[in-house]
Amino acid sequence: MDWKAVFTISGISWSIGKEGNLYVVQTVGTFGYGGTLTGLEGDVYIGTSNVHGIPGDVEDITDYLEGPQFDLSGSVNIDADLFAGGDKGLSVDLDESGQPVYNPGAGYMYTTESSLVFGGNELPNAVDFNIQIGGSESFVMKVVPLWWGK
Amino acid sequence: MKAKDFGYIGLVICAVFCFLIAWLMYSTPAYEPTIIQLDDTFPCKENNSEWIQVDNFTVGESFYICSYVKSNVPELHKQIQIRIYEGKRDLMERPVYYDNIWVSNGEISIPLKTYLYPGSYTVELSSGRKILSTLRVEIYGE
Repeated sequence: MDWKAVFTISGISWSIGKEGNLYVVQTVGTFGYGGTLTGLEGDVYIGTSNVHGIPGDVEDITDYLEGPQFDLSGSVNIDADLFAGGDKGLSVDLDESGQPVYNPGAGYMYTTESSLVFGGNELPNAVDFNIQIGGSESFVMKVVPLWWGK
Repeated sequence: MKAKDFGYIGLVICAVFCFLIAWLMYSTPAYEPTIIQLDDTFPCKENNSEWIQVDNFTVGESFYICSYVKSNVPELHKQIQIRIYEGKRDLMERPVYYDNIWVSNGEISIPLKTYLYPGSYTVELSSGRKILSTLRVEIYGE
């Protein structure tokens, strides 16, 4: 087993709101890693996420997409120097005071993610598994009205 | 159709998708956030057509939150959220009152359409996950 200190992550996601906008969101953060010993490693994640708990009566959701979150994820990879695998993640969305956001009628705000992971590391293990716990912050970069939007 | 053909089709779909994303990123201006600021926010009630600050209310008395909205958008028309928590807001505490209201630049008075039992409450005004103002209100029995 290996426990690593903090890494910096950066990602860009594209979210489509039901009001017909495409939101380009950048997320940066840090996390701790626990799992099989891998040495130096680099990962790329490609997947989908679903944001829960945004009230249905809010017309502009940008201020709901921006902000800090607590992140937890786990992945299993087939590893032979270069590796590929699957990752499931959960992020609890927080407000500026660092508390979970509860919206009556919509519930707590959280995001679930399912991703494919590709990467490479120094120590091939045949099978890697790990969990990652950390924090991140999201910023809306672009809002693109789509053809069915208002 | 051979497996190789599916691979080519997948590649073409990926290329078209990447082109669309690149085109959207290039052709759309950067997002400029609407920045809202609430100045001089206090619990209030109407008295002879004037809004006066009141920190303590009696049960059943109607009260409002008064504030002055400033933003970087000249013709602001945006929703903000108001939540009331019992006592001091604790971790995972759910609000006893929630409303989603439209605001414009300038003076506003937000009615709190709820019945609150005697006690102390935290009133929080926010825009999404951005907290705009937090204040305390005391409700006394009659």
